[in-house]
Amino acid sequence: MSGISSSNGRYIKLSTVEYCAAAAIIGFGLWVLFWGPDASLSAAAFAELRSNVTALGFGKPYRTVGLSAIIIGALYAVAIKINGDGMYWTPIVRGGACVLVVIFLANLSWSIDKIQQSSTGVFVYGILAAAFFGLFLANLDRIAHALILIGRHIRGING
Amino acid sequence: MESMAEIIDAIAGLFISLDITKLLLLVCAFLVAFAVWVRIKRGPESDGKPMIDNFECLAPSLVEHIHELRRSNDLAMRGQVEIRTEQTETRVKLAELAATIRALAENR
Repeated sequence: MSGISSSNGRYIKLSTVEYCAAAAIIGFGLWVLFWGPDASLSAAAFAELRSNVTALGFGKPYRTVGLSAIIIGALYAVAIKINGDGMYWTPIVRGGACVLVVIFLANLSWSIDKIQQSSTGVFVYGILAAAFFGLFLANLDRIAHALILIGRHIRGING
Repeated sequence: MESMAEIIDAIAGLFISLDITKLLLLVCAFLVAFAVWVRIKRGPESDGKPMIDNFECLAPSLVEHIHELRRSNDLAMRGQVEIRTEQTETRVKLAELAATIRALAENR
């Protein structure tokens, strides 16, 4: 916590950064859905990503990616808003959303790397994946706390 | 040493053979498990911190505010103690003064 806030009161709250991240995820989903099939994800560089998403069996890859991004982003934003009122699940949703985005972006970067290693897409998506991984790390203590609480709840221990 | 090198090679080979999704999931799962272990090892009150610090990760500003209130409360308590000490000293001085006045009056 000390890395995020400071005693002089001039600090950026982690939730503010996370709201921006959630908005970016939703925006990405809307972008993909807006341009429709054979558009946003049609480049040859995304071939592996498309085949991986198609293998999930939810229909066209653009729709799966777009809708998933909107749902994940919305859940992420709701979890940030609820925060301490849902100690059992909000940290897990926050961490889970970050992990899913990291996996998606890393696959995207990996996919482009296979076609054109020198592409700026490899770097940019890689950096974005690292940024979301940073958000996951920032939530790590919360996730651990939630898991311990769930464990205690299951074992019937209060506190 | 050779067997050690073989073990390292086997572990490295295991990680290289994983695709990026599985590798990331493995890393994240390990980090979560490590964080849980650290929290359990630290314990809720084993480090002498009050229970309120357990909520630091959920509401840091609230915890900071509570600590500030505690500090203010400590200062106020210390102030009260000082005032009481001064009151006692004043009472003693007043009693001494009253005794002196009484003695003077009797001697008159």
